[in-house]
Amino acid sequence: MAAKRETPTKATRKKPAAPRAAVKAPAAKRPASKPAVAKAPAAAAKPRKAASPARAAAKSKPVAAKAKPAARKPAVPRKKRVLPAALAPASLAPGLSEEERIEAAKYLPRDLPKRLFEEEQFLFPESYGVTRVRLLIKDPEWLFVHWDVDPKTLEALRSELGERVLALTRLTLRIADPDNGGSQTILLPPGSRSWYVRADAGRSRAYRSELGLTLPSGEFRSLAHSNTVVTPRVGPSPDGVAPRRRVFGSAPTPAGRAAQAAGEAKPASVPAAPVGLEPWKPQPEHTDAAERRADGRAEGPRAAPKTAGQTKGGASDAFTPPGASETHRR
Amino acid sequence: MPAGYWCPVLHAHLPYVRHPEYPEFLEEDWFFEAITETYVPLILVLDGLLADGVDYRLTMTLSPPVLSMLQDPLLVSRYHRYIDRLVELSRREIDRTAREDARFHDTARFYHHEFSRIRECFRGTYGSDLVRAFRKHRDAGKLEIITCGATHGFLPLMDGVPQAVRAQIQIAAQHYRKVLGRDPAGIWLPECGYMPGQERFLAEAGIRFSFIESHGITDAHPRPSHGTFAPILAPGGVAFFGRDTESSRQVWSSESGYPGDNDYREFYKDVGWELPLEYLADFMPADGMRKNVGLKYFRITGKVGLGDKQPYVRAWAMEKAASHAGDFLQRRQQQIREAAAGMSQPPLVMSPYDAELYGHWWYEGPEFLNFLFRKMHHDQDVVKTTTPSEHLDRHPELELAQPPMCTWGAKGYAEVWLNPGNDWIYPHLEIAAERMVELAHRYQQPNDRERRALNQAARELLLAQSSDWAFIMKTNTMVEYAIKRTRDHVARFDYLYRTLSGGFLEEPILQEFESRDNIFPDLDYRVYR
Repeated sequence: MAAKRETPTKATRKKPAAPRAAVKAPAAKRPASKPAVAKAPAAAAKPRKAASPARAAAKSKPVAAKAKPAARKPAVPRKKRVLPAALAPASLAPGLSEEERIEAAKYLPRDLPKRLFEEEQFLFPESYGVTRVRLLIKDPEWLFVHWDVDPKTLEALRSELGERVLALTRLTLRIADPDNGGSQTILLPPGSRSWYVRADAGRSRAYRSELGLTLPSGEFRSLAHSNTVVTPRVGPSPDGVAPRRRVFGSAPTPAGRAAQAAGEAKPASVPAAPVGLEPWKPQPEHTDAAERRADGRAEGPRAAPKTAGQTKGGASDAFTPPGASETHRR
Repeated sequence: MPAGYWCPVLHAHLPYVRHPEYPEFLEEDWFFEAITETYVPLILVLDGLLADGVDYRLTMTLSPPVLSMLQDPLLVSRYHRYIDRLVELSRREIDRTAREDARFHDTARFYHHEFSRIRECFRGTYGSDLVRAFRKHRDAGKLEIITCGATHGFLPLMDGVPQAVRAQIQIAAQHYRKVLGRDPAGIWLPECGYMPGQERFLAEAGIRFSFIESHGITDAHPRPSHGTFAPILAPGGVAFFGRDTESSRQVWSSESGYPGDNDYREFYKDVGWELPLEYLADFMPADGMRKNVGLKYFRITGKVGLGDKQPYVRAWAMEKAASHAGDFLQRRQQQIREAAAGMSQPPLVMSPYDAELYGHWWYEGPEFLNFLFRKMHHDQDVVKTTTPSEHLDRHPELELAQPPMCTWGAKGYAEVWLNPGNDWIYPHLEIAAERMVELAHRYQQPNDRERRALNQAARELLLAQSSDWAFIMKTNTMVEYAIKRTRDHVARFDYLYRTLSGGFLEEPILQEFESRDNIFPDLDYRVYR
């Protein structure tokens, strides 16, 4: 089934419809004088009074620092003015850190009247026609899962099981730690496309999700496996591994050379030639799982081991060396 | 030899905003305001330091979008119009304040002088090419310029498509080489977003160092001995400098930090929202909307409503900037003396800031730096400024440790860029990235038009990946525009993908895309293989 796409003006099978704005006219042909921006509401455009009535002819005092204590006294009666809401800092989203509030100042103004942009007439597809599930790490406590189900998959199921069974079938997410065991199952509400999943905040763990269908009989039919992610450990590393030192290999940079020439930087041991920077891997961390294994204590149910053909999970996966799954874990 | 080093890092970045389809576009002002209030004022400070023989070190990111916009003829011509109008408005303001409100007259005169000086620097001194100015200070050995992700894509959330992460790094490094004529030694990971394993892409691009949030160092494994006072070496041979919390808070915090001082200029009170619209007609959008124009006449005053703010007095603000510079220096001296006691090498305090914080948000910020660099040079020997490259040359032995995933956003992870307000973009971005990889492998011998379409598809993907859009959606600033940009680039990518997958590519449409989204003209789509 075709994915839901934009509304083309003259779409044909062999001629994908260009986004509307691009089809309309090249920029050069467009009337340049009138940008397609919505009119501001009258209230917003209403001229405001000038900042303040003129004061007596008294000239401003010289702005020398010495004059400061005297000049600080507010001699000028103030006329209260209300700043337009568009500029008030309170219109920022709640819960932002100070830094984010400051950084947001780069993208002003805000709360403008509705504008009509010339923009692509494009509806984000509800499905790209593939069955997949992906995991992202939001923070040590939360994972974000998003998925797509090829409508053909559901059609096939409908043919096989019938409309009634399909209506009672639930899309299901299973989240598991492939190394240490443990899993959770989430019956997803109809129409959902993503979900936030609670992670084990106490320690770093690997997670992998499986998307499937739970039939009315309770049977689970797997549709797709996700990448594997490893949540970050919080807090200082508990392992008292003595830090190793090693020469950072590289010739001095131009800036460094300039500083050295000026007699400021006297590098004690800058190597004459670059030192090899072969990949280095940290020692495995002490893990709860390893401890449990060493103690002979029971572990939770283990997820099935990875098999060939499973989705590779990006750099996180690539970084975790096979057979050393505890590498970043705590 | 100093007891320790201070490594200031300014991260200059704005998203690529350029709208040739409109005669003027509100969001282009972000860039013009940054030139006027941050980039040129900083250059003027650096010029002064160089002329006066002040020895200083500063590290700056010039993100690829900022470098591209600084060299874009359309945006440069529009900036000329912007600064000309500003000079003219400030001239009119001298007359108006003399007539109507003497409280603001001195400040109006100050603005006119300042805007004229900025215009002269931009147009006269550097011939409308600020990259020249930054190069000059780099070549003088004072400024270290580093790169960033190609379009400031938030790399931890791209981890599912490693080729997309690699492309952000490779394209940035190539662009840096083209514009600045050297290989980048360092990189600012967008939003300080680090994911274990991604440093291999940095190493591949020849990058030696980057920066991470404090907990990236303190939570690293094994535990580094000196916290953020020394960089660590991560797998793959990339050094990471950790952000110093104390010096960051002193500047970043609007409550306890310097920028919140009562004598500094109030950011939220701009004449663009206060003077009659007919008076400002030449400076406002044609449709009756208002916007900031950059003339602000009030100081912070205290915890009072915006209507109760008092007039800005430049001399008081300058006095405060000098005083705060002295305080900052004293605290760094104390901090470094204390840290040095337990270390075998001089401690390093690395303080990263948004460049636009200096000048745009904290109007007196560039002058604070000016005072600070001069005081550090003339008044003491305890702390010296340095750059990461210099520090690594000087102290090449590092502790080996693996940082955890971290960012400099709220709570230290990805919440700002991944939350219910913006999470809907990631499935689309990820599919587009996967499709780009697919196209790069499928087209081994494209014809000219196909190659152009492939390169343009990569540009659209890169522009859609800019972390600014998710940030704006989260912070509730120009959300409508952020959604438009995401939609536009995903739509254009989608169109190109379909034409390259059996459809018919219309030349005028391709030209239109190339003309609008013209970043990285030398981009080669094969970077996605």
